[in-house]
Amino acid sequence: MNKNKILALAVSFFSLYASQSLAQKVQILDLKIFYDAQFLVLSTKANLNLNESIVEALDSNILIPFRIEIKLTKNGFFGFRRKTQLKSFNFTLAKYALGNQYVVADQQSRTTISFSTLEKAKQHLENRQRLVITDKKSLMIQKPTEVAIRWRLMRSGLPIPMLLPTLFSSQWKLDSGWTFYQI
Amino acid sequence: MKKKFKEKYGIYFLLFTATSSLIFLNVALDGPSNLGPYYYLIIIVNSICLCALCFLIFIDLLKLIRQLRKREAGAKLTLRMLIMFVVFAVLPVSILYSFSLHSINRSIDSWFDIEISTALQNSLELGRESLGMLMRNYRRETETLAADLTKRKTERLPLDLTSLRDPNGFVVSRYQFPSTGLIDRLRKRSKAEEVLVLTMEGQVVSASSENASLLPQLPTETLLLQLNDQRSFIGLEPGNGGQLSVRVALNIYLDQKEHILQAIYPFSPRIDNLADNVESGFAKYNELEFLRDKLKISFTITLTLVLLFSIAASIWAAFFCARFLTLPISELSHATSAIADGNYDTSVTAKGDDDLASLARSFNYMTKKIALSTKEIENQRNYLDAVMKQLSSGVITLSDKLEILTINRAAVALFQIEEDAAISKKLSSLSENNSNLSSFYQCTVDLLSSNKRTWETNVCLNIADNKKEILCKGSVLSEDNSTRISHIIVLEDITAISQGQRDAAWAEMAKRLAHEIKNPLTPIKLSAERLLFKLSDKLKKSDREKLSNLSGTIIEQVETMTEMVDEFSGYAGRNFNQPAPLDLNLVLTSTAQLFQEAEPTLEITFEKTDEIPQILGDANSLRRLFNNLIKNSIEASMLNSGTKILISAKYLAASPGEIEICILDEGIGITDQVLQNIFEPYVTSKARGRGLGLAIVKKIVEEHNGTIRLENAPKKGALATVTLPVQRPIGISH
Repeated sequence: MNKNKILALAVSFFSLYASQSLAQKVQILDLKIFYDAQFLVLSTKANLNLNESIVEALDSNILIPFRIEIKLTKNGFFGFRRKTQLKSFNFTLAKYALGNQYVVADQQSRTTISFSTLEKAKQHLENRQRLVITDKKSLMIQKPTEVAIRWRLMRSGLPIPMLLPTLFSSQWKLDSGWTFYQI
Repeated sequence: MKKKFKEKYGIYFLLFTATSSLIFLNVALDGPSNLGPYYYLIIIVNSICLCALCFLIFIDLLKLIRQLRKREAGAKLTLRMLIMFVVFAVLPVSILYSFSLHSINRSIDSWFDIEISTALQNSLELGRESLGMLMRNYRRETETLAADLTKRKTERLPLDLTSLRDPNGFVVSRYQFPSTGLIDRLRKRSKAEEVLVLTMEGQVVSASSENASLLPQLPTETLLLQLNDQRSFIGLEPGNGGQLSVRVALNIYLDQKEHILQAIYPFSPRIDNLADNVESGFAKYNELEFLRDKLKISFTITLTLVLLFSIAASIWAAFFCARFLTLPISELSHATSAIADGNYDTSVTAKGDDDLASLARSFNYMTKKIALSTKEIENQRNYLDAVMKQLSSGVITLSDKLEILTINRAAVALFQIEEDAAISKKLSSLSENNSNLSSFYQCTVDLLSSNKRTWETNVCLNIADNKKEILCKGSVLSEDNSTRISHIIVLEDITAISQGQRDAAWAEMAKRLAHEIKNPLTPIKLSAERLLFKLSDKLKKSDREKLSNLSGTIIEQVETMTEMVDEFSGYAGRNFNQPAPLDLNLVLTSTAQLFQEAEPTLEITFEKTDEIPQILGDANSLRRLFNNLIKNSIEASMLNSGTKILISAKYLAASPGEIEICILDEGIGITDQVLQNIFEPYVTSKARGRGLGLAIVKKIVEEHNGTIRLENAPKKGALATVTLPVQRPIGISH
């Protein structure tokens, strides 16, 4: 197989992968970065497109994990961005069968809130307030210039039998991609 | 060596990695584990290991195909082993695979029995109903609490809560609120875990909690929205630690303002536990049902990977094992070829104590023995070659197709052919250009084609203008078609023997004749003389004349016969009696002078050479020899009007030295027919010759250990060449 064919195959594969990613992209609707007394805090709002497959899994009592990743970067050599800090906030969305409710759990604060409908739970999940990124002291040392945020569905947190089927499924690729903001 | 070492341990590492990743894969599917994040990695590692193994197998397969095409030793054995391993591995593994898969699928399907599903559903419903009942109780309790709160006049005390950490302003410090003590009492009465009084915006007015936590469990925005719509809220709240609680929120009026009363009621540990069991059981079942097909797929993938690895490993093992077997076989095969090519220094490595090592040792021993035998055969052959070369008899070996296989030096000289040109050529094709071979072929072809094991025949060949009689003895060497040599023919030059036999026979006959005839001749002559003497006086003149004529004729013929008998005696008997040193110059000078005086018309010249060593010989015999030769030359010259006869003698210094005497005349020469047998008795070209002269000459020469040759001179006449040895004792030549 010559090089041209291999290249064409690789481009097709990644195009397909990219196109599928774009189709299911999570939209970040709002982002506020501000300083609290001692911390850099972030509030964000996104639109999670929970399609049929995800809803069906939820209704089958599958725990759906989400993660908000925030990284601080600054300019490095040759124009590349250098990461100074990376922080992750993990949430889960699950159905509580007994109460016929949808429960949103915050792994960081170890809190769970239940909602009678999926829509309410989704709205709650999409609206994240006052996520502490870092303290001011670290900021002064590292001097980052940008904040990047990313919302995504953590497929690795799904049950293992689902990992392979969801690998090539576009419906499970909820990822906003990195969005950069200057600070 | 390094490459093999790397390859060997590379394979081990690959197999170890593959096995480990398969185990991890199995563990990941077994149940809850921490391998979820690494699942993709495990799959990738498995795939890489499988691909690597398949690649190695592919390389080995290519090598095997190449070896099969080249028909290398061990290739077919490797193929057979490969097929065997694959068949014996694939078959059971495939059966196991299909049964395992079927078994797993059936087991998975059996989990989702309709009865179990119904039971779980029912238990969930039961749980919901029970909890629903409790929730309704708690709602009533909260309503009672709300009523109590609304009815009572509350103590209103300002509370400064600005010192509290309340960045979002949940706690309102401006308002006057029901006293904590009242809320507490109401809470305890209702057995709630926490009671909150909030504004419609969600700001805490008053709170009481069993846990004394700083921050109460505030209502969500959704709850607030719901309450703003004038709808109360009651909900089951699974807690952080799995604790179940009920949240009830109602609208109440305090200070003529609408507020929210929220109460959180915990379930008892037992109900909590039961609810948790029902919930987790149902959730697990539901999850499993959702993952049913995916689980089957995952197990199928795992089993398939195991199957593929087993097959790949068995194929690789086949190649690995075959290598152990075929390497010594291949080595053995190469060694065999080397030995077939004549390289007896080859040996095979004999490692270990198994059958192959034993075979290798036997092979090496056999090689040594063959080398020794070959050397011996070679020595024998060399000996035979040397003997054949030195053999005076010619030896020819022919194949069954009458192709010359070997021909010795004597035979080459006999047929006057090139040895290299003769080998591997058919006798018939060689005889086309060689008259001697042609004669030989014609004489022997029928005998060679016959079924006789041995045969004998005489062949006459013309070699260097000399007629030779060759005795050919042939025998069949082998009737087996596998050996090439079919006939062997021994050629012996029996010319001298035949000639000697003939000469001896002639001599014997001459001797007997001389003896038998000579005896009556004397009395016949004497009787004739006596008759003449006695009767000549008593007869008439005419009768006397007649008697005289007749008796004269008798006497003359008797004398002629006596001469002839004397010649016979001369041929038969020894011609030398007293060998003594002789100067041939003197003999030839005197002989030449004698004949010159007798024949003045001819010029008979003797070219004298000063330095001629003496020879040992009988003077009378030698004179007789030269007399006969010169006499023949004179008679031939007379017939051809020749005028000169040249006699020369020179010393040939080759070792041992010889003297060559030449007599050249200008006579009529000698015909070829006569020349062939000229030295035999009764062979003559003269009208009146008895043919004994040259026979006697040859006898005298041979008695002196010399040689004589008679040939026609280049221009005209004949040349007689006699060579006599110098200073050699005279002996019997036959």
